[in-house]
Amino acid sequence: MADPSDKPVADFSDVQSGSSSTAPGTPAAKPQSYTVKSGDSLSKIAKHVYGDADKWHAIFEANRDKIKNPDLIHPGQVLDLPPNT
Amino acid sequence: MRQLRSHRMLGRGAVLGVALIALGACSKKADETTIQSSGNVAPAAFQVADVQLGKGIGADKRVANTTDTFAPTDTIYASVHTTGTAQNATVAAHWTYQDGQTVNDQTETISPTADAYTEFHISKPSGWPAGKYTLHVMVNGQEVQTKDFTVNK
Repeated sequence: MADPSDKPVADFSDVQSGSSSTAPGTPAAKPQSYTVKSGDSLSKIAKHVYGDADKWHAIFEANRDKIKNPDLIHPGQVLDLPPNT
Repeated sequence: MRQLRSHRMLGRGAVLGVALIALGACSKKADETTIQSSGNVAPAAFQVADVQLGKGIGADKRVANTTDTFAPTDTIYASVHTTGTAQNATVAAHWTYQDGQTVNDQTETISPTADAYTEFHISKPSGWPAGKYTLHVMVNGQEVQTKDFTVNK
């Protein structure tokens, strides 16, 4: 009979999270960054972070020194995430 | 005699008239009190009105597609609707798995002047383990609401 303690424990170490509010007073200058993963695109990151894929422009503009071509980002690249406006 | 009676009646009428005027004055005063008290409204207490879960969020920080069932690859969004005003209130989301494990903790400090929506989202690139999860919403360190949800394989 299998020991219940052998049951694999769920691993949540790679959970990514974010938050924002319509209320004023939210510290706006919270520095945020994002590490590009395989399969990511700027619009995919924008959708994940801001809930709006069209905000990829804002990420691109904030990272002009790191991104020459917005269609070409590399896994492991650390991008600055501008505050959601 | 007749004159005396008419004087008495006149006296009763005067008493009744004074009483009616006094009653009118009282009711007028009561109305004024009501207006005064409603014109002096205290700031609304800050509280959580509603918490919604879903797979998407709008620019207004409200959940677009509300659901309590998710797929392993979904980003899970929670929108906390608060009413009232506050200065530097903390709204926190504490996400837990069915075995009690903490999945994630997030805190937003807000100073709302009216109704506000605060969103929290979590994702897991390697996929959520199937099972039951709970979102605990805390305001200034006190748990105010919980939401259960399920991740199906």
